[in-house]
Amino acid sequence: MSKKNLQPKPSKKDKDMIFEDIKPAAPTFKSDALVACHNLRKFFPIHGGIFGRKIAEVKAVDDITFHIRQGETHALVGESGSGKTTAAKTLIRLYDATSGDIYLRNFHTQTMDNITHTRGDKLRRLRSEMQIVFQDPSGSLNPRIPVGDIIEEPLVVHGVKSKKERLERVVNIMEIVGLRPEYLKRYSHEFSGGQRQRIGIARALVLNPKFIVCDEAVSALDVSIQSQIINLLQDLQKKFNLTYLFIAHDLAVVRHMADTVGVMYLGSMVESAPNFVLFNKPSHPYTQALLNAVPVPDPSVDRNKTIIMGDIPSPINPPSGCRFRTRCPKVMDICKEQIPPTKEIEPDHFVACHLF
Amino acid sequence: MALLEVKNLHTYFHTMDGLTKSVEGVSFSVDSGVTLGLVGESGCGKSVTSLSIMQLVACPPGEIHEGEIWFQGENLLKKTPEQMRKIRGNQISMIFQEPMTSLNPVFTVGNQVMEVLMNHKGVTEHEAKEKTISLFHDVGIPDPKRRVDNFPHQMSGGMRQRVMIAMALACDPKLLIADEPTTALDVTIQAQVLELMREIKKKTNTSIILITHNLAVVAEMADYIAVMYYGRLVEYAPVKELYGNPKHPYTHGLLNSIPRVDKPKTDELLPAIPGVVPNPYNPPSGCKFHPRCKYAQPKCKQEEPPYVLLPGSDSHLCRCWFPVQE
Repeated sequence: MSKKNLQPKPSKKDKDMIFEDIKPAAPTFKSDALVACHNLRKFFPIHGGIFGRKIAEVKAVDDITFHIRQGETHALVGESGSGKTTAAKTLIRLYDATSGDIYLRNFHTQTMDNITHTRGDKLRRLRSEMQIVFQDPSGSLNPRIPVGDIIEEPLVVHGVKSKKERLERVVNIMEIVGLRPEYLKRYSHEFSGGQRQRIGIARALVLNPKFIVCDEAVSALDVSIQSQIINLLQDLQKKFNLTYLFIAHDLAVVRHMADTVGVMYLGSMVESAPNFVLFNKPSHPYTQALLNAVPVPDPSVDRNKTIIMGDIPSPINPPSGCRFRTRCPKVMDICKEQIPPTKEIEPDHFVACHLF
Repeated sequence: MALLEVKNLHTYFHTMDGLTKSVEGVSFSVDSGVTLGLVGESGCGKSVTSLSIMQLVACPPGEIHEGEIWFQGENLLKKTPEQMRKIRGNQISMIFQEPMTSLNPVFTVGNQVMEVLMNHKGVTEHEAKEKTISLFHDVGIPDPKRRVDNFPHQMSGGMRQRVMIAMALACDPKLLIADEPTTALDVTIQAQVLELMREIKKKTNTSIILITHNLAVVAEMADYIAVMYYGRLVEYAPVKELYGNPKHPYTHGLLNSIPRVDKPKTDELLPAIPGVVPNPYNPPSGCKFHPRCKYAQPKCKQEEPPYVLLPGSDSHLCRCWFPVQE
């Protein structure tokens, strides 16, 4: 097969056809949603025994539903092991969902198209619309190739043939994220942590995606650099009308960045609400505990602290009923027996708890 | 008399790329029962300061070039390695950031705590085990009798950090140095560990040096805060004074630039400090913060400001020619 066939250039006609084999969009979406998932599940098998059979499953993401409006930031928060990253990676098709549906807006037809089972070339073209910025800026950049090539690579993969055009776009995006174009030939170890994260952001942006997952994108950075990168992300969002899925464990950053917030615990979404509602009126006991645990950089604030005890249980063998019941201060008999249904206690405010 | 007094400490590293002055002229003191928060970004020298106190700076390439470290009336820098070994883990002990890498994976956690007791207190193995179980109970490890026989990998991050704390407390130290003790932990677990450290301090009157980059954690834990930048102390004050009335532009800028969980979202950008920490091999002239400082004047470029008490204050020190007025 010639190289030509491997890297088809997406013509406008092709782009319209990306979505050709997909099911009709689900009817329930808000008109301004960009991405959505319905009852998304992702289980990882654990193999063991002499024949390597599947002996158990890690229920990393278990039945979550949410949508993100265009141009907004949806944050996923929760402790490590709560399934935030798996949810995001499944959403952008880096993992195949075990069940459930994923939808992405098709701007040519203005419909929400089901992309759960898109494959091959169509999936590759779809990827140019959904990009990811990783947590560890040094671990996610190849130390052996110059940063110019790192940022250029997505363009090569997605078939921008002309070397000149690629270079122009790389230089342009470097300027946008605040990197000097002279750095084109440098290697990633020559940069500071903040600049490396800018390289990661440039790489994600170079294909003009609509949707970006920021997976703990500012967590590994120093305090003074963190605010610079937060500002950059917000600036880029305005400039390019980007939609973010922002994964973070730092609730202060989330409160500053997010328009809507989803709180995850052990693979399920326990509460989701607009920013203002979630931080002012947290309703699920876990959200309350999480907010209570965050230290405030002000010694004059003397808060009444209730600290929840214990650790997050294993996702291989989660507790029966409500998954939070083993640590919940308000646990009742029913919590052990039934999984709490998700209820909309006020517009756009969803809680999965037997108290409601 | 202060429990610990560090005077004009200089710690240098001779590396392949040249001399790095990681700590330059750091002086502070810690009284009994006081928690000092040592705050700064990576590379500012806060960990090297604590390693210098413990004399754990690898030599070569490191070298304590100058300075005095007085602990209970004795200069630690004049001690022989054997004398230091008796102090380390006994009167001064340390909690490290990463509980997975600081615990030995091939010994049980109980064994590692017992080793400290047997070395320093000369107790028998049986007594050491009893004491370890009671320590595990004190730091809130459930089912301590069974847990002492666990290996580190069988425990969660929070439990491992509790083991580290139990180990540090085994000999009732006078001074506990906690280097980023909660950075690797989740918020709910962080809250548990911080609560545990507060209880310990109340019970034993141990002094704590809490090293962290997290301005929120120190606000809740410390009595005094020392802010480091580029190997130097730039500001020192009681915690309420420092947060309420920051005088150094760096402290002021940091406190303004961090997003806060107790403040609602606005559409404004964060007032971030521009630029990055200067290269350690190529220090800027004058005040080391001047290239990033929005209040910088020509004088800042020429002369390094002294680290002095602010006029009219007896405990607020600052290294700046033009302290922030508000």
